[in-house]
Amino acid sequence: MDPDAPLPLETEFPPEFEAPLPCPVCGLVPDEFARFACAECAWTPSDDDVHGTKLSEARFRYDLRAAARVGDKARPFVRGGVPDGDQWTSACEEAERERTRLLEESRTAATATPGVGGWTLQFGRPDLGRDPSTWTTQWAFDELVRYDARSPVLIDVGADGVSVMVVRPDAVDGPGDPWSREDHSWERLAASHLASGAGERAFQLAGGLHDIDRARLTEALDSELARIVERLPIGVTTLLADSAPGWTVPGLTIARLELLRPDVRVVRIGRPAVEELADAVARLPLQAPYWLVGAQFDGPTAQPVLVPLFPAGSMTGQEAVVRVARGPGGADNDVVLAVVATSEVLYDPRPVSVLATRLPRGVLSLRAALEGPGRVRWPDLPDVRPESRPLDQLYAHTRACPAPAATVDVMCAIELGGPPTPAAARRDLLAGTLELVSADLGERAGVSVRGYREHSFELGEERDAVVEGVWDADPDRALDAFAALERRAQPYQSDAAPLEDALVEIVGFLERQRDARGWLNEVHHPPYRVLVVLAGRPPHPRGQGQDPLRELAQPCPRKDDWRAAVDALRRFGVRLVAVLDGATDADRDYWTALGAHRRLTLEGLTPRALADAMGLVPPGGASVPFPLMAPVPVEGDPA
Amino acid sequence: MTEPTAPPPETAPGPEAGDATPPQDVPPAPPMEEVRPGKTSIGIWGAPQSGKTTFLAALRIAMSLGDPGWRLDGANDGSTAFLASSTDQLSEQRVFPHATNSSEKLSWRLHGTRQVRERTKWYRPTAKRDVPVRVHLDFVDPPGRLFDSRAGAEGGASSGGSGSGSSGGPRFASSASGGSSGGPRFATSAPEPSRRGEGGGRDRRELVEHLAACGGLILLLDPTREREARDSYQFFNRTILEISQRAPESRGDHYLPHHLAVCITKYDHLWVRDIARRGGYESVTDPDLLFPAVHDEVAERFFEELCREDGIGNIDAIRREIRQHFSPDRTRYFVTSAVGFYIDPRTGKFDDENYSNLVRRTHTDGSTSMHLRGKVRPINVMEPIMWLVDRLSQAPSGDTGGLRSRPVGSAG
Repeated sequence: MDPDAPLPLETEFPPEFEAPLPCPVCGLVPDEFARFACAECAWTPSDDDVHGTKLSEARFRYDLRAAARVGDKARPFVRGGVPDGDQWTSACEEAERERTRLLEESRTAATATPGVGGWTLQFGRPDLGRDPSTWTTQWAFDELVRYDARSPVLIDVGADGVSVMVVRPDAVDGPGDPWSREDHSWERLAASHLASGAGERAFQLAGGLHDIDRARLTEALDSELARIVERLPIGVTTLLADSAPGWTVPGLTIARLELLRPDVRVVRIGRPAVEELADAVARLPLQAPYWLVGAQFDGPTAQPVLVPLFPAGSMTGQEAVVRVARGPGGADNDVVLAVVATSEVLYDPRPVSVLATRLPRGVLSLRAALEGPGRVRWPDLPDVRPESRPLDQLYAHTRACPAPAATVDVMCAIELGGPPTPAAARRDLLAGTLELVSADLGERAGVSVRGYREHSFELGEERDAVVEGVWDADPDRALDAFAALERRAQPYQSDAAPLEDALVEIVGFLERQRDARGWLNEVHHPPYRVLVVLAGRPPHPRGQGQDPLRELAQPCPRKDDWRAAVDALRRFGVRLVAVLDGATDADRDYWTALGAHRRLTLEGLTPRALADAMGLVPPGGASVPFPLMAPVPVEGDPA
Repeated sequence: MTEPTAPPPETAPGPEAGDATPPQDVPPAPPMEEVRPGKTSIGIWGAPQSGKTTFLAALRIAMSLGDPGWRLDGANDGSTAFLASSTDQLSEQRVFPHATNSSEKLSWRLHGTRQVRERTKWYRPTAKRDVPVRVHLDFVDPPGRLFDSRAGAEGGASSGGSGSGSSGGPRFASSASGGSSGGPRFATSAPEPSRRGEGGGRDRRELVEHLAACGGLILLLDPTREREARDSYQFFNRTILEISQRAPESRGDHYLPHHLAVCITKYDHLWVRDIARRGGYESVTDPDLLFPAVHDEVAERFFEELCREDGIGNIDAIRREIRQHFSPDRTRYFVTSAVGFYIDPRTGKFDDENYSNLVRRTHTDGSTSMHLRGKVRPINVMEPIMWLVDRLSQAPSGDTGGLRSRPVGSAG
């Protein structure tokens, strides 16, 4: 619409009916009892304004006030030309003052209302961090989220339209918003009377109504608002929020709604009502205690367990610390941090916050921060995503995860030398696997890592030790010790590596372990033992000519015999897994013996697949979705 | 070898006589530094990488380890330098000596003593006495590629594996580029640039003429090479034909007049030794270290066994050619190893389960090199030389210009 277009002077009324002319400034049609001056804009026609100068100025000021309430997007629609900078700044300041005044009026009125604020001590407390002048508004919203309230209604009339929210106080503990929301845009409420452009429509809503028939606009609004109100529950607490104070059409709408629902309480607020409502929810104390869903191995499978997180009555800002560790499968799968609310008497856990994240290895002390009912934040975790799987499904996954063996002896013989690329790949694979073992088995696993380098065939150095590593350590320590093994490139024999030395050492270790545990104990309670060999080159033969296909392979200078070692490993019941470089012929006798249970190729092998082949993780990739609870589940509540 | 100047059999008054008085039908001795091929020369020949350079280097070590009555000196600066450097590489650096790059003319002097029988009355016991011997060994150590029968036909631009930059160590199927120092990096395949355009040319002709003029020949045969490269016969074939063309007639038979010592090398290799062990050809020759060896009396049969075992190579063709061209009386087989077996210093004994003296190292850049694991203890390296010295020195004067005293013992 052209802001400078002349006002329509002709009406639709028949000539015999002398209808009052609308105000040339604001467009308001005076009623028959109207005084000489316009009731809205106070425009008084003047006979000496022959050139229309005063009228233009009045129009300009009228439009400028409306545009300043909206902002820059409404600036072009001011009649009489775009206001200059000073004019615009001044108008904006005036609009802000008017808005503040209106908000203050609303607070004063709310404070004067009998009974307002009486529930504060009982159900919540205002946000002391905010301006005290907002407390009365907060109290008004607090009434909406009273636990004993029955479907209270919040109607927000703002710049975008009318939003109707039916609050469900019993759902404040849920992961979603505890209210249902229905939005009615101005475009829909008064489509035929308002401009289609967003900027001009906002200008009109804020008061630029000089070319709009107020009566018809009111009629259209009444019709639409009646349809909205008739669907709302009757006799419930209803709060009418004016989130666009000073705007003409929202103000008109508030007035019409008050006529439709005389029991409503009206508040003016400076921001969208849904934000005030969310803050009101966050100010609520917890009605039921919050629990973190964890997992424990109890019996043949894992079981989900509840660990107390926040007791009933906890308020926003409180923190709790839980000690958790990721469970089997947690190294390469998300761990679900599920917080549920349930009373200790009536067991009915309802999900509060279900988030997925990755946890580092080891036992962690995780902080949980309460940000109100239904809102638990994990400030120590940078990457947290919503988890879409239902809790029942996660419970079932947990119960389907078999408990790992009570104690596991994990032995690893890894070739550290040889060509650099596969050597690095072997190290990475073993490190990832040990990390998995650490997560899945924890201290139940005794890990021995034996890395072997190269035999020196220099005179006097033949019998030097070539194997290093760690014996029977917990996985974390074994991983650290393994990572500390020096990475160095050195010449090597392409057709043999001192794997036999590592095997003989491992056999000696098993013999010592058997002696320490006792023969009978081993017979009656055989431990689960697995040996993985990560290699690219076969062991040195025991003697010259033991392997006719490797004519130049030197025999082991220490005369260690891989065949005898493999026989001993078989007698100990060790599960034998071999991971070989891609270029290695896996069908040679030493590899078939050392990979009796599984022979795998290094390229493309994942730590989980290797751990699966070693029997260290649940088959089929089963994992415990919830974190394992550390021995001390809750350290306390610093709040 | 030139001029094996043993003393005259009966008239020589002392050690210096042989040195001072050359045999009558031998031309006056030229200056020591010159190479003088002749009836009393020894030529060495073999396929590339058959171990010629290593054989020569091992010779001095064998001398020092063997009978103290023998001593080897260089007769000129080049020979002395070769002797020093190759011995150092082999025994100290424990790497194989660099391959020969040209027809190096190596002249050595072999000093020693031989026992000769003195003629006595028939009823008196045979008398023996030691006579000093100073032998001039003029070795030509030709790079193996010059004996390649393809060299002339293909203009020298051919053929991996025959590069003269190789050395006497084993070869491998992998073809990493060769190293430049510190011992051989195997599988160098580029032919030497200087000979690329002439296909052996003048060097080859000179060498063949030299071999044809020699009284004794040493043929090095590497049976392990034949299993992999299968080109030994190829190297042998053309050379023997050219020698036949140039060699003088033998007086008593239809064979070539040369004495031939066939050295079957790489006895320390697992495959070679397995055949010797299974066939019962081995015997302990060293009472201290308990080294096994194949005695030269059975070496020819062992060679036949090798030919049978080697189902894919062409060694048997070489054997037939040898029988065709060389008199059995003037041919002898030796099973040799330039580096010998590994002896664990803690036990000081030969260990049948741990005897290989070679270590192949793969470097981080993918190249490989061969190293010696322990001390060098050559096997049957000295013996072919000694046998040739003996045979050349007792040959009829028309053939060898030689010595008429009959040796009753030697290092070989």
